[in-house]
Amino acid sequence: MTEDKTPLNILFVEDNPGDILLIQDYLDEYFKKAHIDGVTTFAKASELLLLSNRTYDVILLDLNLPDKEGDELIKAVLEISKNAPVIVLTGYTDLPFMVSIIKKGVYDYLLKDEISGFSLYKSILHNIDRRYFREELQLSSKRYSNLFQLSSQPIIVFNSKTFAIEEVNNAALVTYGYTKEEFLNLKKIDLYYEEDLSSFVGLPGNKLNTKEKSNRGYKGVFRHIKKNGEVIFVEVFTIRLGINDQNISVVIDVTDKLNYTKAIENQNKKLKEIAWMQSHVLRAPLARMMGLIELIKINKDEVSEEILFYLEEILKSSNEFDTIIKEISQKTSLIVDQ
Amino acid sequence: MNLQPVIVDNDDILCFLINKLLKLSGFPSPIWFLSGGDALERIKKEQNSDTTYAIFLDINMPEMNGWQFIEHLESITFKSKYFIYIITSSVDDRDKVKAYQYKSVYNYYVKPLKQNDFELLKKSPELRPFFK
Repeated sequence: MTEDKTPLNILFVEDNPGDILLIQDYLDEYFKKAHIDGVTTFAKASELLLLSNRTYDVILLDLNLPDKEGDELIKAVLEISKNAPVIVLTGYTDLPFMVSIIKKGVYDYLLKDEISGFSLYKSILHNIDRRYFREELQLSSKRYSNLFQLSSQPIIVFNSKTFAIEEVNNAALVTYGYTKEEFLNLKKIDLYYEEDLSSFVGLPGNKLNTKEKSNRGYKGVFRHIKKNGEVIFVEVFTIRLGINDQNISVVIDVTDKLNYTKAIENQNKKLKEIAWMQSHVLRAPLARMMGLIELIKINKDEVSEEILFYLEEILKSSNEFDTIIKEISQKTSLIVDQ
Repeated sequence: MNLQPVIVDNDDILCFLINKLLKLSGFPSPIWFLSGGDALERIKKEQNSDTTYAIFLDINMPEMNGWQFIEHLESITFKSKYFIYIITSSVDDRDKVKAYQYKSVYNYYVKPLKQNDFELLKKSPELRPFFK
């Protein structure tokens, strides 16, 4: 005899006295420690679900209650079940109906005539487990959807054979200016600047030399065209998803980065010119002046003491000036060399 | 065997200064040129195996700069021997590195030069024989 050791909270909704007796018996046998609330109407069940503090691990539900039944009952219970697995107990073998309620969110259905203590026990435990799997799956799929939709980088899912765009995130809509409908009517190659298509991987006759290719995917810098015709520079990382020939491309708009780099390159060029001027042009007249003073000092017998003092001071200033020029020149050439 | 100092600098004051310092240091009377082209022409014309030229050369000059001057000089065969001394106002170390890559460059000076620089130069291995 298998006994359940975890105390479960079970809500048992059934109005047929014979069935109540039978099922209660099975539950007592297999769930010795379980807390079981038995009610006979939907009204009472909803009272417990909505107003009591108890959370139920499972709801056993008869399909024919005095105050509600069938489809309507299921819909109403699912709305207030707080994700507890609902197992339907029924006397009818209406297979299409059973399939339809499973689709709506019912976890399982059991035919009253065929229920045994063990099959009920198994169904209850199994569906409690399933509930956690289902919730985890929903959570994980929500997480991935968030990663996709909340990403600030445009992400494009496309077919690797036809290049048809199959999914885009919000950032892609913002970056390219297309509506989602327009996007889904485009091929990925429609986004590319025509000249760059020759280096587009996957087109027949093209080599991969412009890209870094790895086992998992490839990346490259391209020009893309927005809906308004504006050309942007983008770094594209593409990975094979491995599902239905799907590839996924993450796009990074590097237009500003490239423009910024160009501006810095121009500045460096100017800085180089300045460094050259510092070291070749600016110093020339100073060196001349210092040379002349030195020459006067060689003939110092011919000048008065006072003039010699002035000259010494001029020479001091010139040397300071010279030191500054050397420092500036060194600094600029260091920056330029980097 | 005689030594002929040659000054090549587009700045006439600097030519004058070097001229003066050379004379004060006991060098033979230099000839000076404000352009590399003029200097080359003169050296080409007056070469003979007895004359050695000590060429004091500026780098930054219009038309033909110091580097072009050296390359031109090294590309032709002379009877006369010559030593080149770079005299520049540049404090860019890359110029110094570049200068010593030419086989005919013997020394590199940053302006302003002092009389002592020329006194020391007289004792250099290549010029010593002229100052006994």
